Amino acid sequence: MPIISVQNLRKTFQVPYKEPGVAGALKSLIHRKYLEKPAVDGVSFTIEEGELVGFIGPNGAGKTTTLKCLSGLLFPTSGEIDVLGFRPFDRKKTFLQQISLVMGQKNQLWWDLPAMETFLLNKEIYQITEKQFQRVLQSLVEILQVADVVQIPVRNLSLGQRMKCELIAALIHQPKVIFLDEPTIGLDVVMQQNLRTFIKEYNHQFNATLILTSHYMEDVKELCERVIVINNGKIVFDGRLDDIVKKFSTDKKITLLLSKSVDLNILQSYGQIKSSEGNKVTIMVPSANSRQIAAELLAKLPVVDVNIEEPEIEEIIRQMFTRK
Amino acid sequence: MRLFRIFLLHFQSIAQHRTRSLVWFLLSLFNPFMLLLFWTASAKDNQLGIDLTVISTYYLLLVLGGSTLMAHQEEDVAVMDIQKGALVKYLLRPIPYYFMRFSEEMHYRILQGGYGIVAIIILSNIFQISLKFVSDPLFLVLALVSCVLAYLLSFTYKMLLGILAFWLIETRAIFEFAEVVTLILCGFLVPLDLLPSWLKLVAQLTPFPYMIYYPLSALIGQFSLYGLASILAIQACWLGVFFLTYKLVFGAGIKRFTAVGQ
Repeated sequence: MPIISVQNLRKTFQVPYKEPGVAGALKSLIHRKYLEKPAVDGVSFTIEEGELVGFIGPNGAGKTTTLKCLSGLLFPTSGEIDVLGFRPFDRKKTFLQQISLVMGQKNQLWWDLPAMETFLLNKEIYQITEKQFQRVLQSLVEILQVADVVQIPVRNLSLGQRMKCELIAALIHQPKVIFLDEPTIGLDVVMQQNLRTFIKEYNHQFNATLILTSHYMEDVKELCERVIVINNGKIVFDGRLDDIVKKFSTDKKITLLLSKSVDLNILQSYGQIKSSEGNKVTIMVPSANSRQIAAELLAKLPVVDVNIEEPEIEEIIRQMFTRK
Repeated sequence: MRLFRIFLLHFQSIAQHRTRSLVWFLLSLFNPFMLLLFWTASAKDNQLGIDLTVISTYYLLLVLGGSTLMAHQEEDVAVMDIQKGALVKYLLRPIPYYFMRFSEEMHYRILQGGYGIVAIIILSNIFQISLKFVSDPLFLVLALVSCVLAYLLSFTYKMLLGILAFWLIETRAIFEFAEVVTLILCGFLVPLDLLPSWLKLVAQLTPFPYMIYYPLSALIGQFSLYGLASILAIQACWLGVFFLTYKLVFGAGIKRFTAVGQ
């Protein structure tokens, strides 16, 4: 039985609209116009317990709005949401005790006090026993390696240290469902990697269900077997990450290493030139003809080495987002 | 016990902002201090038939009452929580927003109340004012209960003002207007008994005098037992009305919340 079930979710925001100029200002004074802006438009999916799902899409695609609806922050315009058997917007105590929403660079920690005080506050709020609190805290502090910073006022911590403490505050009650919205945003590559390792370990250790949104494909590639791609408020793909390539890649990438430079117009007649550095040229060709084109290039050009591969997943997703 | 521990943890956070709290207190001191000077001078000639001890005690208590009984969270609720989206962190926790805000706000009142007591001691010595308080223990307890109800009333009223931001983009003008109404009808400018009779009647029909004027008058010992009981009953009624209204308005407003910026 799925732990999260979303059926035909819609969320529309009302935004004020003003015509330009003084006339527009006067009109707006008497009769203000509003536009209905759909942020999520008929989204449906289910997630099983223990799954780690990547939610990807360009800015304004509806990722965060969906997470906010799932965590009970936003009232859906229509549709059905079931998380752990609850309707999230009711924000029942037992529901809130089992979920967590972590937003990159957004703070629940007390700024002027050590992070430990926020952990203690959450211990009281979530009614965690002393034994469980100590056990989970010790485990999280160990995995995230922050034993020496939890007693220092938050304002004196680096962004990475703050993010780690933020995660502890969000996970101290051992939520069953975790929504991670851009958790690695603004972090350096080392910290990003540490955080990814932590998320993976948390998922395994506590069998928690996680939904992750991120602009960094590395996060998604390393953590999520399943991805949901959303664009303009609609789901355009839901499945295994590898399947995106099979389903959406219409081209292949041929990289040629030549013994001497050749006229690029010849190569252009076979496909789109992606890059050309010295004697190394990369062209994109239709997948269906890739073998035949490669053979022709080998026969006609002074090729030292040839490599045919699928395009980068980032490239495919970029194409999906820009496709009308 | 758990709620008490949450209160204590919040107090640590508030204690970090003791300077900010002191500055706000000094600002709030200015108005009653000026009025104290004015009324002390007026009452000396006794042309207005005002008891100098009563009026000076009233204004000195106003220093304490203004800082202890009047909540001031409406702007944080409107701007920080609703318009800038900080409400998110409260909504995600399994404890009501009203309670969390209460446990944060109340500590400012305790801290400022401490400053208020120091200010009263200093001012009463400077102006050589002998303070007149209710002496009967029963009356004192009832007056203190009235003060607690007054704070709850003021807190819920300010919550109601704050959550108007679910509908309004610009709330400052409303808060300013509410401040002026409060100054007049709570008895901050002039004790209610000195207001024109029609305005006094209007004030009595509103909850505002029950936030400051009546609790302070009760502390000075201006009421009979029956009068004090009536005030407590009316305060409880207003509190019930405010709280139910808050629940209804918050329930409707939260559906409009967009958690923008979060």
